[in-house]
Amino acid sequence: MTRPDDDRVVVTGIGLVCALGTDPDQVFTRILDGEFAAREWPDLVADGFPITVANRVEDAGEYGRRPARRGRALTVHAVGNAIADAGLGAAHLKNAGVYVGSTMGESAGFEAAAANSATDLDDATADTFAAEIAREFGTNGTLRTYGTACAAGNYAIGSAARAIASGRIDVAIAGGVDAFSRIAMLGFARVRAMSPDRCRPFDRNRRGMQLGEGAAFLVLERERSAARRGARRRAVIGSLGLSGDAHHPTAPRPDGSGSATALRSALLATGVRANEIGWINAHGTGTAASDAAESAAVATVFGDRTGPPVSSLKGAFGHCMGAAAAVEAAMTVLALERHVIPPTVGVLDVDDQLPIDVVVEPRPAPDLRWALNCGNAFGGLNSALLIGAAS
Amino acid sequence: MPRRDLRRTRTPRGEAATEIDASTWFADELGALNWRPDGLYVATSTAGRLEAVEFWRAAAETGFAFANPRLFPWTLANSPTGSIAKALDVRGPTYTLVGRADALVGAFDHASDDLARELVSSAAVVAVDVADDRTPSLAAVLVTSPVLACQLGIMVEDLEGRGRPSDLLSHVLAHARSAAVERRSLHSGNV
Repeated sequence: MTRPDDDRVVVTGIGLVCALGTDPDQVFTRILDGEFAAREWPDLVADGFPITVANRVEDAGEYGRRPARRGRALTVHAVGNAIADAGLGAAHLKNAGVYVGSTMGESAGFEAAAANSATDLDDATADTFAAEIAREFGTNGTLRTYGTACAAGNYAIGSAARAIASGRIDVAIAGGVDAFSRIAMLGFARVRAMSPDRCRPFDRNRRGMQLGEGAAFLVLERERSAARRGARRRAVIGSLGLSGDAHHPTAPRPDGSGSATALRSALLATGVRANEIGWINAHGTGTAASDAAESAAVATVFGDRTGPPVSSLKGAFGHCMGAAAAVEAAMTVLALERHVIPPTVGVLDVDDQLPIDVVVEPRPAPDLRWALNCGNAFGGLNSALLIGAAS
Repeated sequence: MPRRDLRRTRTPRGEAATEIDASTWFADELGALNWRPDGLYVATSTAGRLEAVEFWRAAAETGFAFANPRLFPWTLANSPTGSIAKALDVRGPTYTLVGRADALVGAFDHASDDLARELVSSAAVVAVDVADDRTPSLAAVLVTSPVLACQLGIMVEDLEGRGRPSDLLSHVLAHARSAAVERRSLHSGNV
C-alpha cells in the first residue's frame, strides 16, 4: 500500500559536488546539453597509470589542499548546500540522523599509509564522513555509514527514509561521497573494467566505466513536518529494494536475476505498479557485462523492450563510486521536477541486443511520476530506490 | 543445525593472513554452519582498509602495470560481505555497516526492521574485523525474531563502548545467554 500523503518522506534539500559542477540545476542542464567532464589528466600520465582519463572535480585548491581530507571537504560543501536549500536551522539539525555511503573512505589516507607515512587508519575509514558532518553541522542523532561500494548512496538515502517513516528520526542528511581515488583508478583499470577513452553506457562498442568523484546529499523529512515549516517539497522517497547475487566478487549474474529482485522489491514495498514507472536511472557503468545484466533485469520486470525508458548518467560525470547513486538520485529529483528525462551521454550506437529503450536525447516526460534509481556493486549487491514527484 | 562458537575465533594463519585469506576464512567459518539466512547484516570497523594499503604498497613496488588485480576487489569494505553472502547463498538484502558500536547497532536495526516487515524470515548478523596485525575476528548470530534483533541491538547500545564490532557482539552473545531475551530464537543460532 502507498503510504498516506501526510506520512510520506520528502526531499527538501539537495547539495552536490561532481565533475560537472556544484549546482544541481546547472549539472542537470549540462547533462541535457550532452556535456561530459572526462578528460586526460597530466599527473596520471606522468605517474604511469594504465588509464589516464577521469572525471575529477576541478578546483583551485578548495578540496585539494589536504588530500587526506578531500572527501570530507567535498562532503561539507555538499551537505552545507543541501541544508541551505532545505532552509534548515540549527534547531532542526540538532537531532538529525546522518546516513552516508562510501566505497573507498579517504583513499589518500590509505595511499599515505602505504608510503609509510604516519597515518591513523581510523581517520581514513569511511565512517569518518558521518563524524565530520556531525561535528561541522552540530547534529546529535543517529550516525550510519554504509560501506556498500558503488550502491552505497542508495543504501544511505533509502535507509534514512525508512528511519523517518518508522518514526525513529524526524530529519536526515543522507547521501554518498568518494574523493578521487588513485587506488580505485588503478584497481578498476587492472580488473579491466575501465574505458581508455569515453564511457558509453549501453553502446554497442562500450568499453567500460570511467572513474569520477564527488559528494551528494539530500535533506529528508516527513512531509507533514516539511509542510509545517513551509519547506519546498522536491520529491518523495519511496522504498529501497535490495538483493544479493551470491555469485561472484566482481561480476553480476548474467541473467540479471539479482538486479530484477531489487527492482521488484522496491515496487512491492511502496505499492507502485510497474506501469507507473516513467524512467529508470540505471546503474549503467558502460561495462559489457554489467550493462547486459542490468538490461536483462529491466526486461524481466517490465517486459522485453516494453519497459520504461532507461538512461545512464555515468557518461556525463563518471562513476562516482560511493557517491554515484546519491548524485544520480539528485538528478532523478531534477528530472521529476522538470518533467524531462536526461539522455545517456556518450552513447553513439545503441546496442540493439539489449532489450531496453535507451534514452539518447532529452525526452520530455510531462507525466513522469515515479522513477527508479539503480545502483549495483562489487560483491553482488543490487539496489533500486524509488523516487516520486512531490505533487 | 550445527552449533559452533564463533566468538573470538582466530584464523590459524594468524599474521600471515591477507585480506583475501580473511574473507575466505570468514566465509568458510560461516559456510560450515549451514545457515540459510534471507538477509545478511555485516558490521565492520576495518574491512578493506589494510588491503587498500597493501594493494597500493605492492603497486608502488612492482609498478602500476603489474598491480595485482585479484587484490583490488578486497580493498572495498563489503568484500567480506560478498564472500559470506556467496557462502550462505544470501539472495536478499546484504548490508555492510562501517564503524564501531554504531555499525553493529545499525546491523541489528536493519535486521529487526526487515524481519518485522517480513522482507526476510531469517537474518544473519555478522561482525568482522581485521586487526592491524592482520588477525581477523568474527562473531555471528542468526535471528528469526525482530524483537530479538532489537533486544540485541539495545544491548550493544547499553555497552556504550568503542570496541570493535566483533568484540562487542561476542560480549553481547555471551551475556545474552543469561539475559531475558527471546532464548528460543537466539538458540536457533550458533550460540
